[in-house]
Amino acid sequence: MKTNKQQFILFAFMALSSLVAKAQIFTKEDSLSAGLTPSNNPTVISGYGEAKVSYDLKVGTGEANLTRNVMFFGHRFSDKITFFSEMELEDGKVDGSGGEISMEQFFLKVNLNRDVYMVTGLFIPRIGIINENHLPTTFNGNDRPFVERYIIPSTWRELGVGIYGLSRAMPGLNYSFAVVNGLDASSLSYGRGIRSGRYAGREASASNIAVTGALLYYYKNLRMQVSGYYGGANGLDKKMSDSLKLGRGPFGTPVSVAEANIQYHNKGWQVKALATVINMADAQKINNVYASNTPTAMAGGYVELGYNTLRLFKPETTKNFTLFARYEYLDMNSKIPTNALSDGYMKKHYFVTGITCQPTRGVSFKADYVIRTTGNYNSALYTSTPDNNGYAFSRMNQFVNLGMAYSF
Amino acid sequence: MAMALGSGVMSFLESCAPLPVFRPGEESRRIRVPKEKFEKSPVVVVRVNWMPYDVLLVKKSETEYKAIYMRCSHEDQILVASKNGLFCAAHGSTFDLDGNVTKEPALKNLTLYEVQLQNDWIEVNMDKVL
Repeated sequence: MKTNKQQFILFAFMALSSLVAKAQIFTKEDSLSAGLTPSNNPTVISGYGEAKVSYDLKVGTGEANLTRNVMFFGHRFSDKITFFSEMELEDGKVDGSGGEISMEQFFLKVNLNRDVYMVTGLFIPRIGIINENHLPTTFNGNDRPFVERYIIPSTWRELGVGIYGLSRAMPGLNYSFAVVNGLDASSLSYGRGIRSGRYAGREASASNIAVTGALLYYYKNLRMQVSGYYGGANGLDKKMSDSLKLGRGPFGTPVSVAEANIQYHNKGWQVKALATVINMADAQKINNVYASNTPTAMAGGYVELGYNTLRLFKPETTKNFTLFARYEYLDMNSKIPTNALSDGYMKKHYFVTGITCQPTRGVSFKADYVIRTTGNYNSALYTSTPDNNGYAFSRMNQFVNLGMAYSF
Repeated sequence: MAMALGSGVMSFLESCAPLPVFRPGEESRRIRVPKEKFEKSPVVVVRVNWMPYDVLLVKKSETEYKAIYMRCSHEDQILVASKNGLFCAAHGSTFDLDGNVTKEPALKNLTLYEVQLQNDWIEVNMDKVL
């Protein structure tokens, strides 16, 4: 029943969106704000999506999946106040066996002055690269970097209030600060980092909160960022918390995230590097209560190099045929409490290489080859093998992915 | 080596210096900016109270100027200007000093306004989009 309701809501949303889209075709507006040109239609629709086929070379099978389609819907109420929303459908359809419909963003943006604006609602804090800039036409590879899925749980959106601004005194320096709802320690599941602890806008605990901030600096072709997050992960009442011996209050049962990244783009070359670490100081208490084998610390990082080969023949081209390679390392139990079990399978190396072809801006065709190596798995933590595919465990596996993506 | 390092440091310090901001006194759709504003910087931020975004006035040569509306063509975020280009802090789009997209997710170039040279003034016509 719930599934039917979700499908109806999606259908209604898309039908409404298509009507708005028709209205947009006949305007000269290219975005939400008409700026100096008066607009009779300040409502905008856009979107992005990606699909891929993935071959597991060890097992010899392939899977095709509509990874996601996201419809953007926004409205400019005035020069100062704008509404943004993104509704996401994952995995093609939703039924009892999978798929998901969710709001990825849902916020009002209020321009406080020319340099500072506020957002309130469900929004994506500035942590990492992919979290805020996750359009599939802006990154190489069919999969988002694994570090930014399993360590930084992109897309990580929560309810709250944020301030974003830029420094006029130091051009290129930007800052952001936000207060959002915290995480849910009871939902943490093994092997997923803090991903399962996100509320993502659904009945979030406001008893525990989090603060997050970032400094972002542009210098010529360099983009550098540091960000941090500190928040509570227990929203239970005092009686229950005391009974379970879990820290409570705004920052009780704390989770902290630190991250830094740097990007360089010039003459067709792209370089990216990111490092991040997550700490959960009360992991032992979490395990005592929820038996989730939660680690005290997780860490990861990656470096990527790419080059648009079309630049060799036409330096001014806006088309793109990038060859890239990326190395990633992540350790999801780099430090564990005494009541947790270590698992070598949670130490993973990825080498990803491939091509990104963009015949025009906003459209990507991608092909990549992935080698994944891990440590040995701890058999005490699995009923079968980590991959659960019926084959003997292998520390190394390889995948070939072919896909397409769009954004407009 | 020391000279290269010194040159790099100087370049960095220059880039850190705030861009000059010009605030026209009169509320007109034809903005007049004195040429002397470009003596220390080839780019000047023009801030007009009645406009929701600034305009970046770029001196390309003695006879060529560009007026770029500092609104990201992706999701209308306020753009940050530097002497090397413009960028969107929200989603990472970048633009050159001609207003052209140099990095997605923005797909469209920035809005440019007509510029006319008049003796000691540069006049930006906010009613005429190029």
